[in-house]
Amino acid sequence: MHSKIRGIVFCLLSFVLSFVLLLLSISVMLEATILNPSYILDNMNTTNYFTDKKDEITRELVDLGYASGLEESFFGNVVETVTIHDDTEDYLESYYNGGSAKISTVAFRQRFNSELDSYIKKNNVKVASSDSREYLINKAASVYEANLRIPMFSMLSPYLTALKDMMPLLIGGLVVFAAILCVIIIFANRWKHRAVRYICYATSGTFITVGIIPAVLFSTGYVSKINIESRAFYNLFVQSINSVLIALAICSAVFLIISIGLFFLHKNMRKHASEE
Amino acid sequence: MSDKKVRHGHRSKNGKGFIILPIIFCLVTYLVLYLAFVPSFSPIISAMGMFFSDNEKDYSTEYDNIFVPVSENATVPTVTKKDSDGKEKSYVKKDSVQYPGYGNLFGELIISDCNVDANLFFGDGDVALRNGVGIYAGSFVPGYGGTILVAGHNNTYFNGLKNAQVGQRVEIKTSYGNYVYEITDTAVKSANDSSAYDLSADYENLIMYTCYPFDELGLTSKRFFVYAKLVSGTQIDKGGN
Repeated sequence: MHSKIRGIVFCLLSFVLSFVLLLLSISVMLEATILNPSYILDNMNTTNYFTDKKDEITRELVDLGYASGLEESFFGNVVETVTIHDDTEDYLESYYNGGSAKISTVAFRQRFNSELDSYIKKNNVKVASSDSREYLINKAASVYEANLRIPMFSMLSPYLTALKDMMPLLIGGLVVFAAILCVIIIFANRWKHRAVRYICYATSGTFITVGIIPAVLFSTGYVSKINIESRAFYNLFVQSINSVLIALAICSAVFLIISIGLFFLHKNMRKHASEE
Repeated sequence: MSDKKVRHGHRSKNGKGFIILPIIFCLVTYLVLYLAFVPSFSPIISAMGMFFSDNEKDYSTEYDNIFVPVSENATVPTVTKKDSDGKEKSYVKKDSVQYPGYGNLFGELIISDCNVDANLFFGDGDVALRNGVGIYAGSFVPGYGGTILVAGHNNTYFNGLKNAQVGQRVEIKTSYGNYVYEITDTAVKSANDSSAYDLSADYENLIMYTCYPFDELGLTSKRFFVYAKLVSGTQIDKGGN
């Protein structure tokens, strides 16, 4: 009876360790991906985001051109990938620093204005009024700004900033807590192979708990079924989530290797203990 | 020695514990997370469902084309019913009409005298106006007996409206029949002037509009309206007597 209670207590400790390791895995994964300022930019480069965005903005501006008398060819040079890249970088940087995250349209406006002047001169077009020209430029700038704004990002950014600040402390705390639990399990067991067994239960539990998320999401293809109107955002979203899932799968694989190692260590130690 | 073996080995017979316990840990972990977070996260999880569809989004096509032109000699299935005056009248069978969804290409609008020949979409979004002209989704399709409010850009498909004159004919072709209208009036009005059209009219009428003035650069707040009345075309059977 006494050994049964002892077993239950150690199983509970093992479960708590498994839970702590799960939280640690998720925290490390978040720190390496979503909370890393260069993570989104890296994914943007991988998915050809800036070129896709240029095409989308140009297409929307062409629609604006149809309504305002500008030919399609006018928009060929109005939007530049470099400008989109720089403005997006500033926008993301501002978010991660907890700033107001305004998208600058200064460079775009200057470019649009100068192209418009050249177009009017070259084609000898009559401008309806200075107000309508100003309205057109403002409208084009708002199209540019709206296209660069990442959906839901403004809603999530306060949480991201708060999480980013507390993450090093959280990871440190979880590592210490996990270490304390391991020490308790090791020193509270007279037979050390039993301690190894309980730690193995915990790492195996974490392997399954962490691994089940990417396994389910990859096998169902759920992520790729998201409905986003912009192709650039769709590719970015799918790529970003897939990277997070791959990070979780790697985490899970690490726990699997540790579990296998602990399993053989346990077998070995138990054999030695039996032989004593 | 053998006694010790029993003591060391009794808890993990055949190593089952190494499989069962981690699975139990996994299930309990998700149960704990579910109980802890679902009350606060369930609205977000429900809302997330709206962002996902059954299939991957297809970016290869911009719009669905359901327009199959009715040839001159072809006949559209009709039913004969008495109208409000007691006269017998033919209607397009309601089963043979495929109503367009928002953004569908479902017809063609032609004004020969104005050199207008455009794809007709249901809905006047960017895709529709990029590829033709679009019926405002709050108005009616041709043959339904209401106001058909059609928008188009003045620099592309509706540029020819600048030549619109009273008496000219407007043709609308759909998969369920062809309709002919006659221009009755033109007017320049403010974009915000809701008196420029009556969407609650109980008779079929066509209103086409575009930005004004034509061939000038800039976004304007004026609109050029062209009004037309139905001349010929079989009405759609809306059910009932």
